[in-house]
Amino acid sequence: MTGPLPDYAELHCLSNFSFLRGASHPEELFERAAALGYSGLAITDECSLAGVVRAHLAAREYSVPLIIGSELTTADGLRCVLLATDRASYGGLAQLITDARRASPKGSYLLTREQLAAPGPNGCLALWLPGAEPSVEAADFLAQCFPGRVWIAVELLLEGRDSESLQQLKCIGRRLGVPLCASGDVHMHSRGRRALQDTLTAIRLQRPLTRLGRALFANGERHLRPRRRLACLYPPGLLRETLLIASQCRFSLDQLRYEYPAELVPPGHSPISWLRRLTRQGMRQRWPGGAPAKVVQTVDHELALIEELRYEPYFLTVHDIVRFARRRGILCQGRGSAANSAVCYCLGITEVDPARMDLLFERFISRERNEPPDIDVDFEHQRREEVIQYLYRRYGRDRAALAATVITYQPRSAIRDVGKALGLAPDQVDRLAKSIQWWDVGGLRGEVLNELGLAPDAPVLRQLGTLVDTLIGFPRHLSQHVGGFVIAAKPLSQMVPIENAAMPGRTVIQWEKDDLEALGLLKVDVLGLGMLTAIRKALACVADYTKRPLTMADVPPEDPEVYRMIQEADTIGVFQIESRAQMSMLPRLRPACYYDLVIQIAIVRPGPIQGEMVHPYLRRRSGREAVTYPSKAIRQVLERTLGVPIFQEQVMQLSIAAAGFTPGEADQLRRSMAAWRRRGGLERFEHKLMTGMQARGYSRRFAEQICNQIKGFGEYGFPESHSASFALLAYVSSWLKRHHPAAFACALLNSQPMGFYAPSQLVQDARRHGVVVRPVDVRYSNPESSLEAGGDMPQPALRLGLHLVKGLSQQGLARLVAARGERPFVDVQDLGSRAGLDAGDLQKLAAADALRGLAGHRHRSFWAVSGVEEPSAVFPEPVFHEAEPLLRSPTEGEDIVADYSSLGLTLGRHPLALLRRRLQRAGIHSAQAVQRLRSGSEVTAAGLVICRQRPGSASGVIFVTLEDETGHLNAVIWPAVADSQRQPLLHAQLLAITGKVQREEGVLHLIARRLDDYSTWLGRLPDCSRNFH
Amino acid sequence: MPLTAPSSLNVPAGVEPNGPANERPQPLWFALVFPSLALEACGLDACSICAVTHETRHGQRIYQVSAAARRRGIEVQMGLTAALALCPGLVHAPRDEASEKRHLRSLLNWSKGFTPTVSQAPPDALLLEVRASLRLFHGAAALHQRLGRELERQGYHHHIAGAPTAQASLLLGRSGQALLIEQPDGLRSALGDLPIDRLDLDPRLLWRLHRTGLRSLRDLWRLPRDGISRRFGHGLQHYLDRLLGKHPDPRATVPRPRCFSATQELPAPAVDSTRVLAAVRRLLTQLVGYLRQCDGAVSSLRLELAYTRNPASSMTVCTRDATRDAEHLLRLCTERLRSLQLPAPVEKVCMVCADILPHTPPDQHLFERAHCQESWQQRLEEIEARLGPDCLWQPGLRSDHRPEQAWAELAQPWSAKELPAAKRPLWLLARPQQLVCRQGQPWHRGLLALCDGPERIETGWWDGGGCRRDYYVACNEQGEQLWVFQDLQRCGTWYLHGLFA
Amino acid sequence: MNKPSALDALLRQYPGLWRGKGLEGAACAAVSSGFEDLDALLPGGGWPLGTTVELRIAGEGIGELRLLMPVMRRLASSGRHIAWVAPPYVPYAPALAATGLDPSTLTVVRPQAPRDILWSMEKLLQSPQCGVVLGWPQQVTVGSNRRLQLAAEAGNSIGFSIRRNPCHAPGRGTTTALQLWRQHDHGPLWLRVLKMRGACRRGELMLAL
Repeated sequence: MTGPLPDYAELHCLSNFSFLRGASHPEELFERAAALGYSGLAITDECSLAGVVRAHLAAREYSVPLIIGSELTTADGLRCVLLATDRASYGGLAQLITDARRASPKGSYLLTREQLAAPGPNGCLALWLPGAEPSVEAADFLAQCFPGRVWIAVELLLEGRDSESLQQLKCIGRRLGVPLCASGDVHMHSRGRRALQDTLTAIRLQRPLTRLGRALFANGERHLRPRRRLACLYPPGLLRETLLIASQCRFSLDQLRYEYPAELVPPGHSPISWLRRLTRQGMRQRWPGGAPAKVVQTVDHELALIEELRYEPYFLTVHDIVRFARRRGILCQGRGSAANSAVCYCLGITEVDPARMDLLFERFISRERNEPPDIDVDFEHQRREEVIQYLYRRYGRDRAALAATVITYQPRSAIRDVGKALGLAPDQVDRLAKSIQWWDVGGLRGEVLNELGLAPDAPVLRQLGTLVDTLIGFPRHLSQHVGGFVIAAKPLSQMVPIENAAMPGRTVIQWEKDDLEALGLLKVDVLGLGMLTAIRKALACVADYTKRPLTMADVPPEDPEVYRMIQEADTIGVFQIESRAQMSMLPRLRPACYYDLVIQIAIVRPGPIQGEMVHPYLRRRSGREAVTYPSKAIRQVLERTLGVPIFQEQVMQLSIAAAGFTPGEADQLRRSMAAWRRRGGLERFEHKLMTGMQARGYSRRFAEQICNQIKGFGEYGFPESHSASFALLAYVSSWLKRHHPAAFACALLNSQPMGFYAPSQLVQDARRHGVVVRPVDVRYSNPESSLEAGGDMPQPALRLGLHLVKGLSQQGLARLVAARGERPFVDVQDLGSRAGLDAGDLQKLAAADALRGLAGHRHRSFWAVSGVEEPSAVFPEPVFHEAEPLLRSPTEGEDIVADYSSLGLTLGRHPLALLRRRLQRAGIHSAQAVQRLRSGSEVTAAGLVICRQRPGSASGVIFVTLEDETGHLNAVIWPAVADSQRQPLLHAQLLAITGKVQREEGVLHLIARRLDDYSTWLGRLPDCSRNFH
Repeated sequence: MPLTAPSSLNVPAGVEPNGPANERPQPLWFALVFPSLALEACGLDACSICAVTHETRHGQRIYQVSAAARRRGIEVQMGLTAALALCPGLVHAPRDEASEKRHLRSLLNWSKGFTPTVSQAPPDALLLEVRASLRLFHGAAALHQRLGRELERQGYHHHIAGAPTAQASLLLGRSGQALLIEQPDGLRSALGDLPIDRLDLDPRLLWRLHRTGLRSLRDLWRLPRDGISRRFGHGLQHYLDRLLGKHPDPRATVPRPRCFSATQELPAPAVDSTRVLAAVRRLLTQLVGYLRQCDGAVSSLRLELAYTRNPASSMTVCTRDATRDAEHLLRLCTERLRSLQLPAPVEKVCMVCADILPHTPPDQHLFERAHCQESWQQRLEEIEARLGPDCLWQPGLRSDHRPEQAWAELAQPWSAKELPAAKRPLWLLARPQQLVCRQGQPWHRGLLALCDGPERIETGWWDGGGCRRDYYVACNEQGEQLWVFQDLQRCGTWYLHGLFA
Repeated sequence: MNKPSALDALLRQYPGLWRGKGLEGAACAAVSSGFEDLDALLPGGGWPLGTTVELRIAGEGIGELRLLMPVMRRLASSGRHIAWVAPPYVPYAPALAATGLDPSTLTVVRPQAPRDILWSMEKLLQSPQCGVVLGWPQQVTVGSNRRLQLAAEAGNSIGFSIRRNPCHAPGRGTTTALQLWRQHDHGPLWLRVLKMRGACRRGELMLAL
């Protein structure tokens, strides 16, 4: 067919935010629609607006108008698409989706005809989706609900009945006086996604492709089809009709305006006057003798800016949350961009004294972009829920909701789901997924498959590779954001749909953090931080045995003993500076004061490492390199970090001082920095930076260096403000570890899971520091681990709690403690009958060796436990006279294995101690022996792999920490070694590493050359290593 | 495999009195374990890389693997797709339980040459009580060797273990220990080190025993009896007792499998099959009488014809279900005999039923229906008996968009909503037939006019049967309505795929 | 049971109803062909049970199956089996099901030798559980037609022999013979009764399939 192409707007199109249905990203759809010359594209995800913000941005980029809508199916099977025409109908649609979603568990929705007929959504336009067997009654119903605003969507998809159904729909249309329009039921941007769409269907229906049959689409017609093709399929009138509909949909997300909640201001006050008053009050508390002039000046500047941008309610909101937590005795601490203001310090939101830091307020409030500020508040992780429920209570569920996080496919999850869909066996899928490591960039390569014993050229594996590559990055489901709360003055559901989260009592909006940011909506981060819990518990423990109250404020600052410990990298369990990379840097940086800690925390990050800032800083700090500044302005910015930009704020300040950026531009630069890896867009800033700096007389080389550093920062760049808050906690936890190791270990055990180290490592570390650790024992252990003071011990002993016993039921645990409170148990039968424990719980206790005091070794415990009879009314205490069984006691090895599998730790010898003689015969050194070697010696050492880590830097080095009975050994594995010896590296629990000893500034590394898997030596020792990614 | 002739053809072996003699000493049991039986029953070479699969809730899984396949990492219970990804050249076949039973049955028949007291230990073993036969075969060791040799010759992988109790011999055999323990005294020391994992116990019980520090049988023997019973159940104690012969093993009292065998001599050698049939009819009467007597039924019987000069020939008649319906069996025999060319006059006919199964009467409630079904089944069996085993099938539906995959030769559960909405032809060509094009249009007994379509079918990319086709309903000048498609993968070639008949 | 008329009505409604041996000799019942015009031509208002019909077609796929689907559907839904012997193509289950015939009531026989086709048809027709047998015999003789007829009578079933044969003369030994053809391309399907036992009328009619 020749002649002019008809114009067309697609009105029924699902993106991949219709999870496991749509097979294209919104961006891909718009790009394709633009290429095909579509006059408009509706994104009509099923009962969801989760993808519309991304679609909105894509529509802007490709200049194809976006129509916002949603595909809906009522409980009785009526299907339609609703399209928003203006702000009011958009609100109605969002509300309708909210109602349908809230009426049903997470991930599903329930829509009734009554809801469709309600006045809310009736400003929308409706397209009736007739399906295979059109019901005139349904069409009539819709025509009644949406008078004059309803169309029959004719979707000709070559499924064999096209002409027949077109005739039938024409008939219905004539009968009801409803016009027809063309639409495409689009599920993908191009036909090439057909295989992926089929795969998604398989994942959704949880059946392999081979068993799906007709549940799949018969063909790949559900893509954005060229207009020429549509012209062949559809009568011209139907195509014209789409333009008419599109022209009526004038709503854009740009029309959304956000209003802050207003109730926090008492009558008689304006928001600013109230904020001013609270700030002044706080200032008087912080500086009872009067605040320094610089602070007063900063506060005034900040308040002026807040007033100008009308952000008072935001600060009042955060202040209100923090005040609530304080009242409840919940430890909390603000951080993040906006937290670093003098106002926040005065309001008690943060603890970082602005007088000690050079703060940059524009970092979070930007005049140019009118984007909201951002304050993250950390709370004790075990009590954060109280804060969240307070917010719901205070603002109501219609006005406060958690932001969503779109969980996207990662290589592993993609392999798992695609593998299952293609019919691979669960264990095979499992091995494939596990063999894809976090450092694999190339995906499923041939050698990986070969190693797994799979044939790389098997067709199914080739398909797997292709599908997985495409699927990675696809949204999979909505989860709740860790703590991003949106609070509004009016019901949120008029702006964005709200749905139930998986957790009972939680609701989330359908947009994620980036979406909120793109639309300029306010969000407060209410985050949970395990270390705050641990600190509170440790403080309480110490107060308990020293009989003196202790709070964070009572911790003496700048204790040199604490810094000495930190400099020796003795920091297991300490906040932030406990990671493998941090620990290797501590002896070099040798932090000696609070600000050193701030730098320490920020510098061991992928950003500074990639920007190659670490070594210059180290050289300058150790005095091996002169500290120079190209100009006075730059000196002012970089002086505190010896001329090396380490913090995000410094990059912004540099752009202002050296390249003439406005503060607002600097903030835009920060945002692009965070996103350039994903989206690009740093080029224009780069150009501006280069010209700006060169115009100000800086050398081209210097300018390029700064640009590279900015890129290196990328999304990993760390703000000084975060670092400053974290450094406080790092110091307090170090102080606790140094002076109260038992209380600290106890608190960490009771705050699990958190941090880098498993209970096993924490307990071993505590014992190395002289803490007496006592085993789990039904006679003494509390539900949680506890301290047992007594005698003349300098430190109380640590008694492991029953919570460590894997699989023990909560009810059983509670009854056990209650029964023991009445009187001690005499034997296992007594324990079983008085605590009413079932066989499962008793077995778990026996497995944990917690019955040793009542029954003897594990085998005897099991024998005893198996013989416990449930008391009956007639024979309340059954008595049996049995011959003593001849049961051999478990070997030490068996006990260790059993300890690990039941408790995750052992108080016995380290498993490697048992293997030591064998290891010696194999010429393998202990960690301690390696420590004594000279730099450059060749050696083989072996240990349990307790940590495999690859810092996100480009060099691709992998760090492995080995543990044996004498301590830890850190090994460095270069990519070449890692690639050639993947199997032992990935799978060994007991790994032997041969290589060269490297000693540098007090830090010892083993540079691996050869890896050997000795795991079989462990016999049935269960997995006691952990991977940290 | 050659079937050794039963020692006495004319006496029904089932009634032969051969009870245990009073003065009989300790029994001696031989367990003949066939670790690769499933492979062998499928006709696979157990020395090659091969596996047998079975259908489970989770799809096709490996049921048994050859040693060579195990070395390639293929394990029991692994999915088939998984196994193929590991080893694309894996030869595999679905498990054929019927064939396994047949093999086991024929092995059982063969083993009757050594002792009359034989029983099956499904799915993979036979138990022979051989004490009485020892003298005949020159002692236990010689018999042990001879059994091994003969099994080897027949091509079965096997483990043979001998012990004074059935349970012990089976345990040793399944553990792959080809031991021979003649005296009960030797039993404890031979079994003591066997790990308890080998025992045929509930996995949960095994776990508990492990947790109590019990690893080997010896550990178990050390424990107080009442303590064991109270903690781990009486079943375990009984098992242990049976193992050591402290407790009689019910297996020993299991009636020996019965068989029937009878011969009819013809009054005069006959080439006419009707006269042979008359003999068969008389034999069947005897058989059914015997079956009634022992409440048994048969699912197969063998007819052996002895000729005047030629060597004897034999044929097997099988039924779908076990039966003792003389009429039905006669009809089946008649069909078989009809299709047979008698090479020489028949002198006598012998009927052997090696395996007599328990008779299961039809359900009373469904009697009427069952009766109808039964006679329909019998009718189909008659046809099958004459035309061969693959001559009957039922069209079944498969859920698949690809037309050639949307049906199957077996009735499967189906539901109406799974049916294609579009028109489908009643006749499908077994393979699409390529069409020539004339004047740019497909041609089949005349130019084809496309009346309806296209219906696009593009699917199946995951199993190597991917297709991209546009289907049309077409008419030619003969008035035939045809179902044709244009293959979009092969330069738009046209094919005929069905007739609307 | 007390009212014979009710039983008659029932039998009329479900002609395939199994009536036991005692009624075998009763006046032959017929099953509606599903086409009114055709029923009017056929004795008893439908395909007579206990007979064989020879169907001569101008070409395979001309419409022969659609002509016979209604009778098979009716008998299958009354619980009787359907058998096809030596069909020239694969009977396509999705299409069968779409016509309302449960494919699991259909058994397909594929004999190798031509004589086995007739033998199988005979065996199946004899079975009272079998309602309709469609056969595609390669050669028929007077004797074989006679045997099929007897078998159909014994089983009270209907046998259709379908032959591709434009010859107009009815085969000898057959009780009923019909011919199917089209006048010209794309024309309607015509049916002609060549021979019919007990029928007073012969004729042609146009089938609306």
